[in-house]
Amino acid sequence: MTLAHSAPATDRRGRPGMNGWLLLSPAIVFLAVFYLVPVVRLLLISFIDPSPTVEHYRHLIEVPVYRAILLNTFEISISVALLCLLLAYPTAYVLATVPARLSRVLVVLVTLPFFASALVRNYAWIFLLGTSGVINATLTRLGLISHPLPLIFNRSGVIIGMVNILLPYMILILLSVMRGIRRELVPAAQSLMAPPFTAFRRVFLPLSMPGVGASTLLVFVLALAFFITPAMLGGTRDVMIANVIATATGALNWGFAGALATVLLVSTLAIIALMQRMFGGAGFLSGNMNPKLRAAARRLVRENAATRMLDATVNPVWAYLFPVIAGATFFFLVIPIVIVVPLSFSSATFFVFPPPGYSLRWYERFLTAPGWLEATWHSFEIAVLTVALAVGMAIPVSLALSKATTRASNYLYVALLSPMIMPSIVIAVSVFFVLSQMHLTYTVLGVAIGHTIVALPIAIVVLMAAMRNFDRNLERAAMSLGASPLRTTARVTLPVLKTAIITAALFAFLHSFDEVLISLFVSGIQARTLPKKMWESLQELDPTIAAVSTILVMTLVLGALVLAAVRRVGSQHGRKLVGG
Amino acid sequence: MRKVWRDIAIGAAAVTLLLCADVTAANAQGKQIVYLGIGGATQDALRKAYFEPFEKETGIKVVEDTGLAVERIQAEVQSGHPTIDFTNISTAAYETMQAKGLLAPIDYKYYDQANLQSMPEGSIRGKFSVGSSYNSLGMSFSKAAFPDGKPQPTSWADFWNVAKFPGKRTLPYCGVLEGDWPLPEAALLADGVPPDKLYPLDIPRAVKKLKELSPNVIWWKNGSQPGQYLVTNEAVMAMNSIGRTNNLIDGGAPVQYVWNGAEVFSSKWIVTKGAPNYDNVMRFLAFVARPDRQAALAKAIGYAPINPRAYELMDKKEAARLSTYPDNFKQTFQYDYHWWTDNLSKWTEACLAGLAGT
Repeated sequence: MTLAHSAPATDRRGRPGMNGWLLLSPAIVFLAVFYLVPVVRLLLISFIDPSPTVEHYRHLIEVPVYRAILLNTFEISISVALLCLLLAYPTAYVLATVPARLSRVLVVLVTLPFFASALVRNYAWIFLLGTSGVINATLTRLGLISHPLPLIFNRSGVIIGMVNILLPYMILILLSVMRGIRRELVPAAQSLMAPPFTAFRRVFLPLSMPGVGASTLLVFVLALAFFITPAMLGGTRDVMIANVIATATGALNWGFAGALATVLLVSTLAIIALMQRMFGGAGFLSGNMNPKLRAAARRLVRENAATRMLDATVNPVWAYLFPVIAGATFFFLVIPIVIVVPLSFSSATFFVFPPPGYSLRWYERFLTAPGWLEATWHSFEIAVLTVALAVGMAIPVSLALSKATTRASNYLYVALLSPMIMPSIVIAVSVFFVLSQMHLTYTVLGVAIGHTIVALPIAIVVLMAAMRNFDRNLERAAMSLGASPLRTTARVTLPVLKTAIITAALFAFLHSFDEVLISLFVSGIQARTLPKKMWESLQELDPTIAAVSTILVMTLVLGALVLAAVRRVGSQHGRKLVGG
Repeated sequence: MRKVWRDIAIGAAAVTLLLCADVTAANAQGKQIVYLGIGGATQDALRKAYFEPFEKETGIKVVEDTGLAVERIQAEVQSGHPTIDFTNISTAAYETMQAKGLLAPIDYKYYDQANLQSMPEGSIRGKFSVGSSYNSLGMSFSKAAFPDGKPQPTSWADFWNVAKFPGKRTLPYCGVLEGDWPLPEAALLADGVPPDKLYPLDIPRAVKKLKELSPNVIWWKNGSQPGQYLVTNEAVMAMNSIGRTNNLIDGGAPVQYVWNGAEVFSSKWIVTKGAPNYDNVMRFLAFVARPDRQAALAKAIGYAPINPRAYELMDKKEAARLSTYPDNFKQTFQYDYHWWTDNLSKWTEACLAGLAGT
């Protein structure tokens, strides 16, 4: 980093310079070795299995069902991303504007669902939305409906389940961007006689756009690779491409699996390119305010008939609008967990809600049955290591790329994101071969390397979104006052980006903590992880996973309470010192 | 800020130490064989009936790993140093792996002659696989919906008869899942095709029959779902495995399996090519072919023995819930793997296309 700042990371035309490449190199080398080369090798099988051929692609194009499935995949992912945005933006706004202490409590609430396994939450939705589920039973009892509503085993079930899993990502990215916006701007506008919503629309909304672009993209891309949720909560129209890829790999038909993965990757990149064309430059993705987006933002800011009408409609309800949406979102996030807790105390050997009786047997099993505690410990170790690797490489990448403005660097950014689109089975198998050559399979480090392949781009998205809003004049000011470049980075840049770095670290941690497929291949017996233990429950039901989820959620809640208490004591102590 | 750096340094040092500790632990290997399973009730039963008694008798520990057997073993064999010694899989998965040359031959010299002779050549005693147990996939129904003393469904035709037996059904969705689920077979049996005339399957006819029922079907996509939907009353009938059905019954759920029109097949033990503990795996396979072990597994989870002599060690009640028990077996049909190996993707595509949007 010393080098990076002793000379600018980009040249005058905004291309990454010598030092920029130095900052980028760890991530580029890492992804080239562990991701790009092995994955390309695996995907190439689609052209040479069994002999040089385009047969797999021809088959894919000729059989209409695969086109339909690809279309499903994009439809579902786009709906999920847009719905997430609709709920996440107001929620993040409320989190960014409430008093700090309340905000901390609410942020914990947002992260809670991450710790209840996604698998268990899928079951919770069945108990909530099923024909004899909580919602239908309540509505029937109230006499509002005579037949149960079809809420699940169709598209709505898939979208509800996926939005629930992906919402926290979007809320936290938006929050990290909104925290960087100087909040006194809105009251300032209000003091200039602008009604509150008008002030928000003209000042806050445009400044938050980088977060909107980045987080929508992240959720869209993560949604593309889903397969357990659509399988469990969907109907006949909701097969996603990852489901078909899993079937093909199960038959060791790597040629066809590779063709499917390639088509998914290429069409996703094409969509991103189309977005670039429409919004002018990849800045849309990274949140850089490029001319066209800026023009769009300006249209929002400028007064015209449409915005006047918008103001007239929203201003009277503005005080309630976002808080109400945020309240509903919190309820939506927490409700599956409310179901999971009683499941974990069930006396039945399968999931029944409400439980027929209560017992602690699943907790006993977690604590005494072989492997569970050990797997929990491994998961923590691997997740911490993943955070170190992913955030360690993502910070220099975002320092370099946030200054670069050329088309090439935009493409590089998109390329760095591609591991998120790649179906995890493809990453899992290809990284297995590399790690095996390096004798790193079945080690904690090996699994962490595997997890970093996807955690790294996630961390990059978060940091880039925040970095685009970062006022570089602060750095210049520090250096003009004689601060060394390293000191400037450590004392000015990184502290300002604190929320974003913590968010990136949290995502890297949680990605690793939840990741199944890479662990199934790479972790072996020596480094088996908690999700790998939980994966067994996909095959045969066992409420132990509900117990594990409850323990993790409770640990997080207790941890947050203790931290809050310590802070409170600390701040009182501090006040006394100042007062004295 | 300086404090933060110090914390990071301490954290990094701690992680490094832990890593070293792990590597040492991994290097310390004893007398063991490594099994790759799918966990859950099946693996619990294997542990109780096979793994623990084997370790007790021979001192060889069965180390259990879990994962996607087919893909994982292929990756291990191709990487040149496999760690997984053996697993048990469906016949379809066996065919796939055998075709790719991933398996080691079975050495029957470790087997007791009496046991060997009671295991049929071919279907059970193969060159690259040996039967592990008989499993069955078929129909089960909720006795909460159809209690004793009232009409109960007894055939796939009843499964399709929504007027007589109202309620949702749950079926495996096309081929988007592993296993040998007899989905088109069930449709054709319901449509009146006699069990001995099933193959080659009439794909369009089967798809048409499935489309007819589809509005009343919750399609399941992983094996834990059908039982789940039955016990939570989301569905009244399901296509499920005998093992999972017995598991529910043992857990107190009001569920019943229907033998009429069920599929019976043998799961296979397979050994990885280049398995590091080959000889000890052979000792294990010979050990579990013993009637007492076979009976123990049947008692634990209701999988039928590949060694018929195990029936001598069971009482009538235990025997009557097994798929090879004569009264059950005569109602079942045999799955044609050769047809399936050749037609799997053709079926999957026809089924997906036919059911999308129903």
